[in-house]
Amino acid sequence: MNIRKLKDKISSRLMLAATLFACLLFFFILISLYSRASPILSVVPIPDLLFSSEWGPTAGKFGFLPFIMGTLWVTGLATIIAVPISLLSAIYLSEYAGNHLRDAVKPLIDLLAGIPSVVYGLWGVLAVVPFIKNTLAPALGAETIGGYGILAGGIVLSIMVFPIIISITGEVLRSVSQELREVSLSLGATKWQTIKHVVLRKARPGIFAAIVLGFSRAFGETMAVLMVVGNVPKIPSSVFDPAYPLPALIANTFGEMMSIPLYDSAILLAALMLLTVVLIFNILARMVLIKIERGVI
Amino acid sequence: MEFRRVEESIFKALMIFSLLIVVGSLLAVIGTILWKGLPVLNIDMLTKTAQGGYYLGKGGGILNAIIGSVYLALGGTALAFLLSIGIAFYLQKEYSGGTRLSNMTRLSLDILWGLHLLYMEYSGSQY
Repeated sequence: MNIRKLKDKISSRLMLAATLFACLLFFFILISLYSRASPILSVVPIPDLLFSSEWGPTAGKFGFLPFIMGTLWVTGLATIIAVPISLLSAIYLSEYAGNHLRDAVKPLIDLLAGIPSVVYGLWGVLAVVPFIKNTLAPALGAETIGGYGILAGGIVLSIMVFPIIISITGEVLRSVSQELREVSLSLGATKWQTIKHVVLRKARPGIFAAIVLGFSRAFGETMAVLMVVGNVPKIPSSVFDPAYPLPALIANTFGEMMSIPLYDSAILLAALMLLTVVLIFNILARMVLIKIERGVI
Repeated sequence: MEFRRVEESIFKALMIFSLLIVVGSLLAVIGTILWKGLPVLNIDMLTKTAQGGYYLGKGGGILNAIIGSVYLALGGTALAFLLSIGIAFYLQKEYSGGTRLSNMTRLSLDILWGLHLLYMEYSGSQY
């Protein structure tokens, strides 16, 4: 066998091994989380774990509802704040703004994407939390615990999500062909009508992907949220309440108090829940995108 | 004035407002960090390791933390580079040819990575 073919074979096998490793990595994580979390699953019934709001590891009570609700509130609020603002900015940048403005703003948005999440968290503690405590909450007559709470978490998270949604939406809008716009404009439509009825319709799947991407970043974000969200294991009832999202629970408690039976297992169950949600979300998003590509939606 | 013109100007104002929020928040983040951080930054901070009583405000700096970050980043990048080059080549048509394995790998990486590949694939199909 000549040496060229041998080289080819070896390198392709090596690449196959790397691919298999990447593929199995996820399953390895899933299985190891499951096996570490199984002790609590066999002791406490799953509905109790998911829908009980009693959290007292020392008393053997593991209700994850406050944490699940905390995650949903923070992520939901961040999405509600971030989606309209970033979509409008992206549309402005790609449709209305001149080249000068676009060239000036683009590096700023890239910079925003590159800031580590701890820095966002610090900024939240230094700027957002005092603002809510001193200005916003008194103005609205709401009670807060020193300004820490879902609102602070949502604001910080939404700023972290801006660059993702803006840059992807911008790419997608730019990929809509110029002829489509010209046709619509030549029929007498205004620029906004063209955007609303032609450009956005064509770009819808891409914008969907952008929002999914932003949402999934917000969902698993730990550090920045943990620093500003208050970390009180209670089901929140308004945006001024403190919350305790799942990633914050894992980051705060893992490695501590492991002498309490089942505690370690409960924390790993929280990790498993996060992973499962991301998994389901991925599969759903993928199915929608495949359908869009085939032209069903 | 026609309704559609009014609508356009309202949305245009909203867009500019949103853009101001985005740019303003970025400047606020950087501004706050610089404003609080610059006054305490000095050469000793960057060139000395932490000494006894560091957290009580005595001598020393954060050199150990900086070096630690650099080591971690270098090691991680080197390892990831070796693996991912192989994977990237293998996922091309010549080797795996869009088989089930390559689809599984994509999904698995998507999840590990929080959906970035999903987007890249999408944008790839768009152009």
